[in-house]
Amino acid sequence: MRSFPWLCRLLWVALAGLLALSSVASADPEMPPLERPADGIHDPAGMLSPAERQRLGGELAEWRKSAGIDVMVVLTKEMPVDNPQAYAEGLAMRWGDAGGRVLILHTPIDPRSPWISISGRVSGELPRPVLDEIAKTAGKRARAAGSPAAAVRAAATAVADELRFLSARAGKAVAPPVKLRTRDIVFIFLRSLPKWLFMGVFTLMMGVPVLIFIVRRLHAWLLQRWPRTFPEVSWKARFGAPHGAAVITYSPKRKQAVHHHHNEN
Amino acid sequence: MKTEVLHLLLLSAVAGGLCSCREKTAPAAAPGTVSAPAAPAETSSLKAADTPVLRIEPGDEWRYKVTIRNPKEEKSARPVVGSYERVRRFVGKVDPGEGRPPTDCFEVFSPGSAKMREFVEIQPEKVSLRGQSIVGEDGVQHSLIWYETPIPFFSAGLAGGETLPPIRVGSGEKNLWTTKVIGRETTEVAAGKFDAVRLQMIGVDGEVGIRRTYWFSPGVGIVREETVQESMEEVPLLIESQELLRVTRSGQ
Repeated sequence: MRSFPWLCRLLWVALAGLLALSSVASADPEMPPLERPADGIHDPAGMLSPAERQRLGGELAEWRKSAGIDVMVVLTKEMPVDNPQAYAEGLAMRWGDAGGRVLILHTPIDPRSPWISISGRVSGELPRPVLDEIAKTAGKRARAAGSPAAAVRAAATAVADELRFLSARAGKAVAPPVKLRTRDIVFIFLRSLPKWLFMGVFTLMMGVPVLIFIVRRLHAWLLQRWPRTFPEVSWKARFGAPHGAAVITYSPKRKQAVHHHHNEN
Repeated sequence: MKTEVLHLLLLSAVAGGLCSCREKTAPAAAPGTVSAPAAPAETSSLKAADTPVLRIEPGDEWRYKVTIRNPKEEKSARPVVGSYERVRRFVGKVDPGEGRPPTDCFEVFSPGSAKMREFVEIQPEKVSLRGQSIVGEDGVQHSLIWYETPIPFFSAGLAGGETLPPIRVGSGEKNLWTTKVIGRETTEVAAGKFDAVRLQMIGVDGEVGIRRTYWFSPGVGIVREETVQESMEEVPLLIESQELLRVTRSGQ
């Protein structure tokens, strides 16, 4: 590097240029932020009036709260990428909840718009063709609407309605009621108890004897005089100079077994 | 120690036996049938909370703001928007005529339109549609449309994912109307915030498809509604939205 000072200067200039470009990119208001917008709407060009944005934001928040379906809306004047569908999916992954993630990317001047991404847990609950059909219907309704506000609202409502209905129906299908049939009077009595009482009785029945057993064994072991014993080993502490130690004595049966083994080898 | 170990083993065996799920075949009438359905218990509490679905007395009045949008008006190619107020008043039981029994009736007033009568069956746990007619300026009722089978409109205890029984209006496969329950949500209108059930009724009227989304708040009634008339190619022709402005009870 010392031999090529011009190379060092060139590298510094390149680095400065790269930093400048990245700051310009992040300053571009059209670029979506890294964090999810608070109301789920990114509208840098102001295509929604404050009243329309508030109304839509309120509905998005209500669906998220009541049904766990997170619908987000992005409105752009121009489409900055070649693959808008993948772009919408990436944004949905970045911003959305793990439950139901829906991102509606709308560029009013583009006849292909909107692009709708549906992902998250709902994509595991419902088949992909069903989700594609929902997105297609929502897109059709958005294109038939007049203003950008009406378009995104039509798309968001269409997707949210279908996902809420189908997810709720799917949830009912996997959790059928369970019937238990038995003749045992004790079992019937215990099942008729309130849940908290049943769990309390169960905990007492299991926990108390175990506790008693442990306490009694510990108590007996602590009261034991030296030498202390464990199945085939006994030991006795020896305290004194030059250092403490323990004398370990094996049981006669164990001694015999060890001696026998030694003789065989 | 042996005694304690035995005691422990015995109690473990008993506890394990109580916790295991045992299912024995038994005749349906055998005693001791214990059922543990989670979903029906939740539905029954919703049903109790929703009942009565409509608290109503003759003279009660619901005032709505109606907005009409024509997404693409053919002549001007610009969406046409208009709004007005609509009043729905409960008048009690009215004779629909043509030999029909007296039925609960709402009279609907809109500026520039003839007075209409909506016939409904109002029960503590459900509301069903029975028909409608027009009342001329002379007070004579005509053009009665009567549904021989009541059309379910709302039932107590509805939850998302459910559907109301489908209804066939007229003949042909296209005339099957279905109503599905989208879910429960809080909706805000001019009259305030209401906990409501969102339903969607879909059907065909001639060559026009109708998609009607309504928010029914138990105890209050319809607080919001959006009806989209669309062509067979699903192009919206007319969008009518209405939201509740206020409810005036007859005692007030």
